[in-house]
Amino acid sequence: MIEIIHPGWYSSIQDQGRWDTLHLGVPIGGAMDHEAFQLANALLNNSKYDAVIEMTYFGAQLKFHQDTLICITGADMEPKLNGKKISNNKAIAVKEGDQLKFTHALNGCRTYLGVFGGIQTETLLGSKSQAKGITRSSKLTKNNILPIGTNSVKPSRFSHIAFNKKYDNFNDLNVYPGPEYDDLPLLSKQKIEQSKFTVSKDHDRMAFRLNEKIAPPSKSIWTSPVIPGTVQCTPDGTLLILMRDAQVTGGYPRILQLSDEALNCLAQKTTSNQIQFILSSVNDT
Amino acid sequence: MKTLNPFSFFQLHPNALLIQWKKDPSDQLLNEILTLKSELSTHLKEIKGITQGYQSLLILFEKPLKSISKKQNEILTIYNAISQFKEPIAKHWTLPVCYDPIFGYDLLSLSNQLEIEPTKLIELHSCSVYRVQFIGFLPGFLYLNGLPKVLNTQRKAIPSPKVQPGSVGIGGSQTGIYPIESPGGWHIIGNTPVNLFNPEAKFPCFAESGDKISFEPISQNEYAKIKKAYTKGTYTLKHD
Repeated sequence: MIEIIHPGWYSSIQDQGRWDTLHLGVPIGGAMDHEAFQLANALLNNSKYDAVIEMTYFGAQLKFHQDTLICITGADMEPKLNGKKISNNKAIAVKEGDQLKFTHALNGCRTYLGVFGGIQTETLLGSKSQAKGITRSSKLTKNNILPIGTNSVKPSRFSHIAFNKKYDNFNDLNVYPGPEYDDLPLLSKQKIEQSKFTVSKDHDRMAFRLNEKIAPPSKSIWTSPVIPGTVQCTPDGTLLILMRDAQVTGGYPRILQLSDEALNCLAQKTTSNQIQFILSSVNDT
Repeated sequence: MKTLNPFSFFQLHPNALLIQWKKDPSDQLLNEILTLKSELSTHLKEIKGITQGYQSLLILFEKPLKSISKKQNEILTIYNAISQFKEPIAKHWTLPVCYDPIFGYDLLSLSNQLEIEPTKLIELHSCSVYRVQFIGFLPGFLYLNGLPKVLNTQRKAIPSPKVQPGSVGIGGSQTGIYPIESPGGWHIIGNTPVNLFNPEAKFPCFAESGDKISFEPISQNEYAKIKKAYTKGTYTLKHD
């Protein structure tokens, strides 16, 4: 078991998300940065579906109530195990009674803590991901006790990977034209390809709003399907990039669609960070 | 009736293919979309899910599509094999709603705005039969069509920051029920004691696309009784 001594700024349990209940309007959800989430499980030789803890901006303080293996990926939150600094992207053995403490993210903003055998909280609608309206709580709180996999099988060698992604250096987001891209005025299309955009202060697991506006599409649409990474344009020209906890349908024109890689990259961005859209055809990928 | 080129394809993402109809939403279009959706779920391989809008279906595949033209042909073959777009076997649900202003706090202002007496407004809202187009926006949020034209209204200028679960609202040409607490811009005219979404139940949402919904006005007393029975698990929602 893991005890949450302090949850940090916003921490939640996440996995690959919910895929069987889209027809009931349930958001897909799941880890914001899938690359970092999958890396944590891979280095622990876990199943790719095992749940991890996702921490945002300022990490948690936790206590282990059993021996296990952990792996930290994503942003560097200067993790310390019993006061001693440990590394990201490496399977590390922890003992019963050990305390793990994170601080604020130095590069990027989301950090993942994987444990051997995964976090074993309740599965609801096919996922352990915490989400509003689905799980009892949408985030971790002080004194939460999380069951984890039991490690009867101890690996003989600990995996690590030289993965040193400087999230701050990745500002280019690969995008495809959305279904309503062609309804945009030419000037807006030029602005999308040529200008930089800035992440506003409104950003969460549902959507990121950008500061710069464009002239909106000429037509409105009937409510239509959207997925994480869909870029909507509101009638006043505001761009909203839908993230993992996005609704399954939306009524605003869908002007762009982020690639999976771009969506993971954006998950590590925060207020005032600049991004540049790189438009390419979906068929070229 | 089937038409040539009934819809177009749009690849939204390497793993996602959008089918878009040109026609305006109607009962016939909904039957066509639901029939194709059901056939695609049965016959298409390696799909993770299908989502639906008023005029479209989005197919999410497990892997990136290698050949979009091949997939389109596969879908067209499935479409062409459908002999008739029948109305799917659907349930007609009766949902109890208390229209008392204690719950429907916008009823009186809306009645003034539309120049329709509150009793008449309740009658108009509860005498119509609505059809579930699809579920989206929030878990268990039903997109319903069938709101009488006289009840069409602008959304509120300033959305309420907190709309209570079960709230029945009118916004634009739509009516709907908020399944969970959420911000909302619709005029709230009542509340249902029935839980619209329960993630722990075998069927988390009672209705599905294509089902019909009627609202039955109930008193505050009945509301309290149903709410109590619902919590105990002794209340079953009526349908035929």
